[in-house]
Amino acid sequence: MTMETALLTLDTLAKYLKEKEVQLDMEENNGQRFIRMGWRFEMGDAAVLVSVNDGPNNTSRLEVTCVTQKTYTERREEVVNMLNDRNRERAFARSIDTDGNVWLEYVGFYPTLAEMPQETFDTLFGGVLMHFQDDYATLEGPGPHGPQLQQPQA
Amino acid sequence: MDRNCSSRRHKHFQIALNGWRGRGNLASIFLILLHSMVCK
Repeated sequence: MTMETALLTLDTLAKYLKEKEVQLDMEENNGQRFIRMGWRFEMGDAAVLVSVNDGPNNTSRLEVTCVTQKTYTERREEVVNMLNDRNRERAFARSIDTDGNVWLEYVGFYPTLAEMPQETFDTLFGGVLMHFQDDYATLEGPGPHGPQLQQPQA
Repeated sequence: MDRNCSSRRHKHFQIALNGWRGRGNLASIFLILLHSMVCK
């Protein structure tokens, strides 16, 4: 009996998430398919988007994007400084958009149809969510350093 | 490299988020579940 090798496709990632009973929608926008999920954190709700897109030179681009539902327009300067510091000190890319929503993004380039075992994706996806949760907690925290949460590994 | 790729991507996602209503996956429980699986 041969084990089937899971390859990096959006359908593979959707299957992994569904197997953990994650509620998700498959969306399409101008031919770009992606997974959209709603996540409830202690400090607020968020949208999480996952996409896999083929690029040039036999590469695929895997993206995991988290966006706060809360907005921080009135604290923009403070938030920009905080996100800038975290971008330098930690993994992933953070920004605030024109509506005041805060984004955290992972972008990775892989060979097209690279193997993507479930445990590898779990580790990646869990890491992204943990970093986002820590950012969200700090944004919503009572003091300049936010509540004391376990520091995610960079 | 397509330098417009990122701005298009943000636009697509921004459109997708308009009117978004999450169905409320609980992050705390999910992360505990993942942690227990990764660290088993």
